[in-house]
Amino acid sequence: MSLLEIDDLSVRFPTSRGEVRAVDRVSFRVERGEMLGLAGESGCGKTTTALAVPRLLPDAAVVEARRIALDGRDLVPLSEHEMEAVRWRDVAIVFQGAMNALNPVQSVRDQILEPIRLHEPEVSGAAARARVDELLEQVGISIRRGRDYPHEFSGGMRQRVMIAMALACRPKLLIADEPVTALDVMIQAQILALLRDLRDELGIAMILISHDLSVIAEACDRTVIMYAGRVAEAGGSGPMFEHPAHPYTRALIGAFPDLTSERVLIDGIPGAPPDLRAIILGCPYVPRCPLAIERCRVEQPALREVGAGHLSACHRAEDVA
Amino acid sequence: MTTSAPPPLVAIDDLHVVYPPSRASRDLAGRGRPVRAVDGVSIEVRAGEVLALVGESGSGKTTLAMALMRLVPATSGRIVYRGEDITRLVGAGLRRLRRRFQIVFQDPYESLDPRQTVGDIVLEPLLIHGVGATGGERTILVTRALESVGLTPAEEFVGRFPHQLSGGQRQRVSIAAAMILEPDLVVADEPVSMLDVSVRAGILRLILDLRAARGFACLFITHDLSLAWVLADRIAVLYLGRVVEIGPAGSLFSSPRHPYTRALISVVPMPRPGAHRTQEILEGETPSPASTPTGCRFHPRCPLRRRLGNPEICERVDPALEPVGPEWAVACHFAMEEPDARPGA
Repeated sequence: MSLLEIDDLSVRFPTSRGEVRAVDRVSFRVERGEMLGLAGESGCGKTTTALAVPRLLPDAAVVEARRIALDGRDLVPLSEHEMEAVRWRDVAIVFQGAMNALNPVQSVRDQILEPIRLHEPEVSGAAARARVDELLEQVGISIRRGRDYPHEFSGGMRQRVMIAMALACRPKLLIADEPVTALDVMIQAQILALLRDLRDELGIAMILISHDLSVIAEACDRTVIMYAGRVAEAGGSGPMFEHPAHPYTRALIGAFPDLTSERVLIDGIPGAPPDLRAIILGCPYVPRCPLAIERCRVEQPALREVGAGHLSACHRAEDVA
Repeated sequence: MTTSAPPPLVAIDDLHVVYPPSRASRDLAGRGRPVRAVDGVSIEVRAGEVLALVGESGSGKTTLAMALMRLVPATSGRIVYRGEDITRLVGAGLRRLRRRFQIVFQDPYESLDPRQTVGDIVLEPLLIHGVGATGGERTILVTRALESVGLTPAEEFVGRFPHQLSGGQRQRVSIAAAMILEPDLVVADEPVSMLDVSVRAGILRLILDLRAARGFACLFITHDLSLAWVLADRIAVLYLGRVVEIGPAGSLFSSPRHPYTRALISVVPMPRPGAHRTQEILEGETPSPASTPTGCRFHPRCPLRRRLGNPEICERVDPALEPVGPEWAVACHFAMEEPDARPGA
């Protein structure tokens, strides 16, 4: 049994100009102790997919799922009250933009303490404070800095505080939404190394969301590539980045300099993702796809196995070089 | 450099930019440490070249570019543009200079006035500098500028507001406004870091194409060494207000000499197999420019110094930039150690 099993998740947002199908029948698994990457351009549905798990989407969202099971327990039928007990204790989130997510007038210690107080009231004050010390140490912040306020920390240190908060109630699954975007490369490497260490030490599973495929490639065991609210490709990061089986993945890889090759400028992906209000008949990537054939326009490609544990939603998966 | 080389477009000589102590850093008597954002930089920008300034937050790369553009005052040192000392230029002279130097900012969501149309944003530099004899002439210039950055047909874009454009289109508007006065030097401060990966290449190619067509020099500021590698003719790596290594992009990247450059290259993330090379993750963060370490400013974090058994010279003597090859200079006492230890190779 996988730690997280998402089956046929769809999320729609009704708007005055039609319904946006942000997530369209997405299914994937997250194994215990695994780092799973969720990648794609802005607006491809990766954050919406992940936020549906702890049910943190805005009220306007219409969420349908056959099953979202965490540790064998289906979350879909749970009441809002029951979900409150799942958040933080079972699933915690590191949000994008560490500065805006922290309270500027509360010390870092108190902010890490708060989820423990709220969600585990049975833990004594002394035990909670001891846990905060332990958390600070785990994320590489010296205990004496706990009394400081967010503005006294650098961007990288604030992100460490966010991670400590998310770990406060010892969740089974951590969702990190663009945890290193807007950080310098050296700090990015530090934070990714920290996440990997925490995974190894605590055996916690993580979903790492990023538009930056290079970050995912560095950190994640498996990767799910999303496009237009659907899964385009999924598989082990190593084999997938070596032999992508979807032209979109191929194009995303080409958007980064290849340091092992000649010094040539990166390639872009012409065009833009489709309007998700429109009904898309065939493959949503057709207008940007160099491999598109007539079949792609009329028949939506199903996700099929193209290698061991490697799935692609492309009619021409075998032709992607 | 040989004597036959053309004179540089801009020559910066021992430039210092020191900011007064921040209020938060002062003690009760009001004393504090000044922030040495740029701390003795000598560098040339050649006509028509792309020079990348690479460094982390606090390295002084943006302050250096701002001082060069005369947007922040130099505390000491000299900036010479086409043979003329512009360090203290004021009045009409400074206004003339402003026409020659332009900048493209990082965030096209913040750098464009949301209440101005695209046409007005691109027109404004012409009005400020009195370019174009008539309204009709200026309209032609605006149309040409928009078309040169790929916003075609221009008539479709002039009346739009920034919020009606995508991030990539906004950055193209910034570039059109920077190009319309035909500058000699364009500073591009992390111009693609806020953009989706799919549109980055288009913006970078546009900058290179415009450079090829018009011959301006480009100072490309980035924290990403891999982008500097594919884009620039030369790369200067900055650490705590100093250039620690400068050289041709290809050779600097393939065999970096400074341990900081090596570490920066080793952590460039790559979506490629074999990306899992030995990373050299430096501990801690760049110290504050208000408390620069003694000797070599990189010594407290330097992995090479540790491997060499902490030689005492590193904490005592500030290393000068010394040539290590053609057009290539490094500020490290042990630049010639481990010459082939290219991380990631």
